[in-house]
Amino acid sequence: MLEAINISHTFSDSTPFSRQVLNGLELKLAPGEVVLLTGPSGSGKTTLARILAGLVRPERGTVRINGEDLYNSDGRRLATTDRVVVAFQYPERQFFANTVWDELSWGLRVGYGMEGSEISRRLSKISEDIAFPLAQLADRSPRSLSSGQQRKAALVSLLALEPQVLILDEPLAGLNVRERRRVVSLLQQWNRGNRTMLVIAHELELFLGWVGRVAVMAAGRLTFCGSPTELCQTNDPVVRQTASLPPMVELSYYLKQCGFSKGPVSADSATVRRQLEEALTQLRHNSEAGTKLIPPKKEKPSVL
Amino acid sequence: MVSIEFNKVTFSYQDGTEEPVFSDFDLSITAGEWVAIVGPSGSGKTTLLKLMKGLLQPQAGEIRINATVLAAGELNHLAACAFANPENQIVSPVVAEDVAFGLENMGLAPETIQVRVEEALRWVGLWERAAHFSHHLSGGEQQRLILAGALAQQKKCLLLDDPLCMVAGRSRTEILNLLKSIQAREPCTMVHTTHLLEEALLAERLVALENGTLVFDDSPGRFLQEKELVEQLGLEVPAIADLGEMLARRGLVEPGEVITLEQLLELLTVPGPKQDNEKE
Repeated sequence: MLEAINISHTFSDSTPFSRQVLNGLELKLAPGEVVLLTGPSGSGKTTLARILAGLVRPERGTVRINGEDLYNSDGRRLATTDRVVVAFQYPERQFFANTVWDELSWGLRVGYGMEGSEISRRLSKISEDIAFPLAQLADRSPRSLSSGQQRKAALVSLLALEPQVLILDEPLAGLNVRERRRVVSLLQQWNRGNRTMLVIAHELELFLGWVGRVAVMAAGRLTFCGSPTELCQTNDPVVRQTASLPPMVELSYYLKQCGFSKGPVSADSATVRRQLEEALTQLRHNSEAGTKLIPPKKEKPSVL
Repeated sequence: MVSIEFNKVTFSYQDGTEEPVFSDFDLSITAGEWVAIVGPSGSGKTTLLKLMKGLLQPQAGEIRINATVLAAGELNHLAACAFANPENQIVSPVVAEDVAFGLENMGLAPETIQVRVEEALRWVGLWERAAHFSHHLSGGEQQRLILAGALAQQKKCLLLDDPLCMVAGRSRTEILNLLKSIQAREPCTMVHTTHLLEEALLAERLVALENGTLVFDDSPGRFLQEKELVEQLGLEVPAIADLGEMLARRGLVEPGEVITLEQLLELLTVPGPKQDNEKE
């Protein structure tokens, strides 16, 4: 559906400020697949998203959408990017209209030529799904909204387009946990509708339970690409470090490394809680038997 | 150090024509305190920080900085700020120059500026990018640059508006721990807004806002006990703190003792005497 093949990209090439951002990167999304892209800041995530969305032409490499090359031999971009919709990291950069209503309805009205009643229906539905108070804010300037509300306004405007391919760059930044869960559950619903999504996020705990694959980037390359389960089990310290795995996963990993739990490393809170309880029981049991309780410190796995 | 006091502050946008964000709002922050501010989107967190800096002026009431009323149109020069959106704050095309900009305005000597720029960029992990274009930095790196600019000023008051919301979990923890150690070494007043309870737990005091009203003002540990309020504000007790509470219920630790992964692993590695005393 969406393919990045051997992509390399440099900012301000041949100047003293030249900086290679992507270095021979490969990532392919199958139709209906959801990939979570994560990694430290500056690793190239946003640049990759912009390249896949057709906003930046990569210096080297090929981008394909539905099997078609995004650029022809003259370097002209194909019109197929209409099917790919991207939500920017900073929502205020995409706002242009004077009111929230104009901003949110623009794509449906101008892009899709939709009628007023249908526009209202779509916008109200999505707004309700992610708890954006549309009726209350419709006449305000989008720039006057708080940062969390701007984030949600931007999401409403894009999700209302019901795109087949969606690229989301940090869609949860600036939202609180409840708001995050609502956005994530909407994305999950969309996934069941067989939409393809690339989501850049640092909040792994909200995604590990349902996305198909996780791609971890560092310094312009993928250091890992596999299922959430594989990521949780990995013994590669660089991958664990760059992926910033949630504390519960790292706890589960630690318990396993110390021999307290036999099952696989888990991302599920209830499972990890059970693993911790088992470990506590073992600790207590050992302490009563008067043996050494704990693995010696040198064996402490470096998860931090 | 800097104290901040709000006395019956009323503020609304558009020169008072909009619904007020704050009405008769009182808040008093003691010099040297670290206060975390939480609350849903649109509850007034950013507005509160802007009022503290003097970027916005109240229509009624007064804001006192170190007991002196902040006059209309006057900026609070004792405070350095970092807001969530770096695009409005980065002024220089080169990373190191951007940090130096604030220091030059303070009239510091070039040698001092050099030292401080390097120190601040090292703190946030951007020193090796010092000579790069600031617009080549990623979103998370730009946020760190803004924070470096604020830290380099070495003011006795830091106002941070969700300053690291685009920085990945691990680096965020590292930078916050660093802030904590800086604050411990050279006490300064810190006001810090966040959407994550994990971050708010680092502060000494937690203030929760809802629609411009103060709905909680006490220690972060006490806030965790207020289950309904936590839920009402759209927040969640961090998973590890939740486990810590389970351990506390069993008498293995004190309530509020374990809130981070480090603390929990420490406990598993070196069992405290309490564990030995524990009987079913």
